[in-house]
Amino acid sequence: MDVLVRNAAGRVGRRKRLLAAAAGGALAALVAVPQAGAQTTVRFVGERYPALEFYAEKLRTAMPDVNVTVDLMPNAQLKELQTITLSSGADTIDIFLGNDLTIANFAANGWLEPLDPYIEKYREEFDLDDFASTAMASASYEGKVYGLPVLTNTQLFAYRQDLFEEKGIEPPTTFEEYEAAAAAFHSPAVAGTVMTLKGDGVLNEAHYYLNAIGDGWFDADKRPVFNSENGVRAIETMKAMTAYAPRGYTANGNDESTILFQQGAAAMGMQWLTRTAAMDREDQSRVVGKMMWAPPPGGGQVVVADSFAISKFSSRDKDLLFRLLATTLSADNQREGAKLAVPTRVSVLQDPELQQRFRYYGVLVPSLEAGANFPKFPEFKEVSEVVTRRIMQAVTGEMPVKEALDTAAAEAEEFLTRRGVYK
Amino acid sequence: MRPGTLAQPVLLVLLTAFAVFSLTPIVWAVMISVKDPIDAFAIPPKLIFEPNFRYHYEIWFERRFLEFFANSAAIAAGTVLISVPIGTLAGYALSRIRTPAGRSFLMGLLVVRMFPHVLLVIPFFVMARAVEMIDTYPAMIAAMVALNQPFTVWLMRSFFLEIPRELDEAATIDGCNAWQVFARVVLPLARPGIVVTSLFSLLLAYNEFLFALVLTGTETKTLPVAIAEYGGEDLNYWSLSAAGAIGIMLPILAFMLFFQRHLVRGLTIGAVKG
Amino acid sequence: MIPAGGDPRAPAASPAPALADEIPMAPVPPRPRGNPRDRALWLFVLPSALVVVAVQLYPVAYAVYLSFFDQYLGSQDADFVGLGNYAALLGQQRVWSALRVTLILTVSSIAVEFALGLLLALGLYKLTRGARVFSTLIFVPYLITPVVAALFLRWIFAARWGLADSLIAAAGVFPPDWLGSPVWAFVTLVVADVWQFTPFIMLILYAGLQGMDPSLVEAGRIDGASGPRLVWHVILPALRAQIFFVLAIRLMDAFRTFDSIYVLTGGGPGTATETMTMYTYTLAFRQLEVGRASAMGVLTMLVVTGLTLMIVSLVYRRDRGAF
Repeated sequence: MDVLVRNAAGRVGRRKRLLAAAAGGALAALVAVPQAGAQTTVRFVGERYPALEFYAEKLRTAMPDVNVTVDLMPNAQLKELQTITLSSGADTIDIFLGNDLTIANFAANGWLEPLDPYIEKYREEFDLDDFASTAMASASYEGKVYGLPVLTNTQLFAYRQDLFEEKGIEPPTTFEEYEAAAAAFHSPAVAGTVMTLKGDGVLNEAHYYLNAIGDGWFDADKRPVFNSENGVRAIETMKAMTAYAPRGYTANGNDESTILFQQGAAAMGMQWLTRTAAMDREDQSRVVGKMMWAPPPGGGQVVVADSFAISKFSSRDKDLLFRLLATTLSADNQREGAKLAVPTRVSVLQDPELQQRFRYYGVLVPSLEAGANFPKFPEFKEVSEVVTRRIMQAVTGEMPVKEALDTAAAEAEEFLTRRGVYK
Repeated sequence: MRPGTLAQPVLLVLLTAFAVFSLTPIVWAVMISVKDPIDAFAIPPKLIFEPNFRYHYEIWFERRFLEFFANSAAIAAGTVLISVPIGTLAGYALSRIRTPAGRSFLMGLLVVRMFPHVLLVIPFFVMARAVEMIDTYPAMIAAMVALNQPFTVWLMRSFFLEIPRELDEAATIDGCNAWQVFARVVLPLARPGIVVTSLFSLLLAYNEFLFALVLTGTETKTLPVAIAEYGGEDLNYWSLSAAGAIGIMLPILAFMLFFQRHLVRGLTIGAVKG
Repeated sequence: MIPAGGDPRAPAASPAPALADEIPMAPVPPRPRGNPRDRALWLFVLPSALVVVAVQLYPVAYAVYLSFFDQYLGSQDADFVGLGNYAALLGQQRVWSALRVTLILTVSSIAVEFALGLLLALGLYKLTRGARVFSTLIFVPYLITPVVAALFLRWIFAARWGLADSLIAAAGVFPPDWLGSPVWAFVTLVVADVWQFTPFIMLILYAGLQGMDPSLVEAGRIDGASGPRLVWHVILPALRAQIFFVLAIRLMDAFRTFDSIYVLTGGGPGTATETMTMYTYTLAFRQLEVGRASAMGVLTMLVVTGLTLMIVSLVYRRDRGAF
């Protein structure tokens, strides 16, 4: 909450100025965009979640002579706005937030500024070698760096410690144990396990099963392997697990699953690390102090990084933009931001004082090590839309699992062939 | 349902039932906007609680919603002031022109309106950028006027059709030219239609999301875009969304109440004819 | 609200002034067709036509043009594929399923909305006192900004903690899976649409009734018509223009419905509620295939045009070409 308060405080001056402009009449606003002195104005667009509100505020105040305007919005709208702006080569966005998938995609389209020359130049000044190599990999594509990682995110296995202790059950380490535990706790009032399958949720959930039990999504030649024998077993397991999912699970997104946990209506399940803090918030949760996290059974859950990137089409001084981003991601800022998300600098990650302070830190390192990135090719996000649609049909019983996955494989190959992926 | 035998109380009960159906989700949203998420999404729902208005306070005074409201109001007002007059002119003319050309034009307007907006928004953005009008009121107003013309023209035309052509003809014989017939004879009779059309034009521009997301920016951002920015990820954002949605609705509700007397029976043809 | 008489474009053909109050009420001879006044009337259409052409023509034409290209947003070059996109789409079972879903949702929503909207409008018209209050109260759902309206309904229909769900559960009845079962998801989406758009139909028809010549109803009564017969033979024909308008507009908008479905079911469960617009959106913004997306848009336009023409022939059955 203090992030919000700070946000607000920083905006008061600006708000007054704009209000005055508005009061001055619509006509004035039509003609002139108010601009203060010789300041550079930079526009940033990103996703809205608490950790990013924190970093956006740091971005606004990073450099006194740079006026950063910030627009934060949900993922789907962000993608629309970025796609429309960048595909038409517009300079209306200077810096933005990307993740593994969008960075690869946008970089392949030539929409991003490669950062390697700046990294070379400012390596010392901003201690850029301190960024974890895994996080840097998320912000890179084909050997070039296109972003500075802001935070790492992954899913943890969340469970009700109090219920588990009551029944004397240990947190699961294998899928058999996971299924057994979910069955043991499942009742109409409390779901055995949350499953988040609405929209992009199914991508993350299937990613976990396919990497833990199956052979992943695609092989090195970008040929589908999700329909291998193990892949079919993975989706069969996912389907079996829905027996312990809450009613209406197909329409549950991350928000719904969070509410089920917070209201004590779910016993366990996968949860984004950035959501763990909400479990202990007094204004949201009935299970304060009752949740605990473990590395996901079997590993292979999704690991992503959100990064700041610079638009190729920005008309601002890109050297300045880079310094702005690097200043924002200082070790000090990351240490402060660690209460909301996993930092990307090794020096902060290994800070013993922080390991003490945050409950999720204990399982963080083993979870990150066991996790799996999305396949790193620019068309993955697009082709995954074709595949996850069939996986949903398999999981809900609309189509037999094997048939659904084989159909998806054929459709995926057709899609990738048309896109010229197989040369 | 014989005339006269349908008792007023029965009508009242049925209308009340539908009003309850209409208002329940809104009342529930109002309740969510004055609760913390822990109570807002409780199982079973909490109907008795102590309201707190911190989310309403937060959006208006800490998250710049006043500024976004000014943007929304400017864009909506600009749209209505341009769209309704020119749409009324065209709607009147097209209610009187009964040639195939008139009908083709009307159909053409509708066909333009049928295209999915997700596809129009990209060329719109490209156009607005070409004339360097991204993040300005005129760009958004132009888009809204154009997008709403088919609606405005068709709706106004449907009201003009109810006004007997004999009036026009009588006035013409009296020596009125086309403009005078329209302005002095027909227009005053179309007042309920103009009120309704203005209301809908206003609503369409005021609530527009997709085009506003793309054509507005930091300086001209509208309320729907601002509210949509709090779509989820943190459940307090949902409380903010609820507070925002209630807040953005109230001015329109006030506008409606204010202009409703123009909808009342008796202003129209009957009075003239009688 | 309208600048009456203040327009400089007044085509002053005849300077002779005449006041509205002086209109003779005597019957006038029928006006011959092709009156030169039509030409003056086309001038009235001009401003509106100019705006539409200047702002809308390019985007629509551009989208239609794109539909003939294999255009991926990420690359500059595009291959002309003729009708290739259309052929590919029509060969996809997904498109047909989306068309079926869209038709079912659209037709059932509009049927319920129209029936309810007409009844409400008639009810308000007959109500001797309080019509203003009721019309305002019932209109409120239409005022909610669409991006949030669906969220409001989600708070009603969400499993477990949604209002409807938990009230039914509290009554000891096992609630249906509002958003998760294919059949109920349809019902929920129809209810959502009815909730938000019945007020639109109601208000337009009500305004139409207000403008209707009351002597028509009187005449009908004198002829012995009553109740449903009066509605069918007198009131509905008098409201033809409004009826066509609300049906056509609702048809187009229902075909375009995106937000509520996106927020409520996300096209799920599986793809049971994926509509043509959702698929268009997926093609455009998830797969960045603007060529195919545009073709999908043109297909949607063709279907809606066909349906609109059907409504024309339904509403204007008795005198064709009169709309």
